Amino acid sequence: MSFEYGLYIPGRGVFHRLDPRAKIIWALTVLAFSIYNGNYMMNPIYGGIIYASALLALISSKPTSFWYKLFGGLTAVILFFSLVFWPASAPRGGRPILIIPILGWKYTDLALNLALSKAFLVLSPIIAIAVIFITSRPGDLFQALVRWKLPYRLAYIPILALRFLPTVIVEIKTITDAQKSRALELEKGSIPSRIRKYIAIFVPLMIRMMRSALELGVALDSKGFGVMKTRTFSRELRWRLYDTFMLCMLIAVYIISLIMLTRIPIWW
Amino acid sequence: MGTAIRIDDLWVRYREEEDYAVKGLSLRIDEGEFVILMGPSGCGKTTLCYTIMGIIPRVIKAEVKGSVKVFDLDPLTASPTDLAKYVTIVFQNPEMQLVTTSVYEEVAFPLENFGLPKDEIERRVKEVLEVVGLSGLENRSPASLSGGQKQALAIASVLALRPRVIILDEPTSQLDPQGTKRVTDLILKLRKEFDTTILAVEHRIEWAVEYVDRIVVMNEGRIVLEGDPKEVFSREIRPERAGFRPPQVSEIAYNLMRSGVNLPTIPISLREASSILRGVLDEGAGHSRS
Repeated sequence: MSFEYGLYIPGRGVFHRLDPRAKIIWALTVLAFSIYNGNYMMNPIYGGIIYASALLALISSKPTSFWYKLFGGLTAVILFFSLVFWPASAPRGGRPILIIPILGWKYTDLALNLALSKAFLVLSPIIAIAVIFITSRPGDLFQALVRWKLPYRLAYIPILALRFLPTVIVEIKTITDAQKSRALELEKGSIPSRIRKYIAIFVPLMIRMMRSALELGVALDSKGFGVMKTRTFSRELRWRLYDTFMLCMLIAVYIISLIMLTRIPIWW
Repeated sequence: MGTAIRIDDLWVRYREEEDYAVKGLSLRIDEGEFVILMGPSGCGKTTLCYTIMGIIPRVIKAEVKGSVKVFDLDPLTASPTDLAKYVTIVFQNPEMQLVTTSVYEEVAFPLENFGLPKDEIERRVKEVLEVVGLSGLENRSPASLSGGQKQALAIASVLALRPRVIILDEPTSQLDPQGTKRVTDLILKLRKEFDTTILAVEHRIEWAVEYVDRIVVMNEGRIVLEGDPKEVFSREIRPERAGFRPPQVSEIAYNLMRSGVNLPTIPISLREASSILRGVLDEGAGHSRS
């Protein structure tokens, strides 16, 4: 697992070449369509679109298997919880498709559709945001936010958090290894005792992070961060025809699917 | 030559602490001078550096008495904008100071913060990367650099602002010999090309002993020893008492002198030690022949 550039993985794919502003607009579109829940068929289809987008971003990034596992794991967890909890609030009726004998749970087609649509409602925006982070240089994202008139001191906070996320992961690993070498067995014991054991990781991590935060603050201070009201950028973002074209295409996919879905008769 | 840093009767006490971390310290560092600050942990070295930087009391609240001047600026009251042009600090862990994802962006970052135009930024980045020996690595991620290169990049990023004083907090403590040599060469270059005043906090001295103008030794918030390396190490320094190690060649000389070997002077560098020991050995051989 390598985080050389934070979450960003260099590449030359469709999303990599897109202006970060276009990607943010696309992610907002994904979010809006995920919230709009007029047809049960809609979210699985939008889910398909978002996974195709994620795959497009990942293939061009050539990341380590970590990212595939992350997306896969996230999908599995959210699908599992949606399938377990959402059917309970599904409307009555529908065709039963699965009955769990001992528990007596009955899954209808309506319950399954509801669970899937709720799962994709959560997954789609998360994946869209992940695609932005994987395919955008943090500096470009920062500039995109500043171009949208967000004060640069504020816009830099999430970028800085992203930059130091890998550092925090390395710190956690170092502390965990150190504590394990002192016979801390994180994998053994009851859940409450395991939680207690994690305090031995959490406390030194917080102390190290606070010390590092002070150093970082001083370093930013000595680099003149925040001293002027506005700042310049040595490499300026430029909105090109390609960005307009690709953004229109990405949004068009959603609009066309929406039109098609509202015209197709509901099959259940 | 003017005075770069002038400290008179400085007292610093952190909030909720009974004792002062710095006690009536006075120090003068000339423009272009290379000074190493040594002493045991907790002796007040970092407090002193933070006060020179104005971090105390601006960021870290503390009671400060006495006067501090960096050229004609008072760091205790000056704005960070003004201060950044005069004095800057590089910490021992470059990891926490590199805030961007490419070498170019890292050096450009402070210049962008000061709102410099694009052409000027490009020119300065090119110039500074040449000085620190990182030309050609503009698009590399800082995370992919070696320890010495990372430290050089951390220095480059503050150097782009052309500060007149650079404070280095244990610049070689996390570096291998190759990285240490890179930092040493860079310091020599900074002095030669920009006449930069350098104040380095260190526990190890070997890497700089031949080039440093003055060593200042602190203990319990006070300066206890001060002078050029020859002067400072001419008397035996016991690491367990002083809290820092003298050069190892000096330690060998202390041991030899304690066991009755007469040395003309205490060596501070390997080159000097070789020549002194050769003299002693030749003399011994002469005696045994006669």
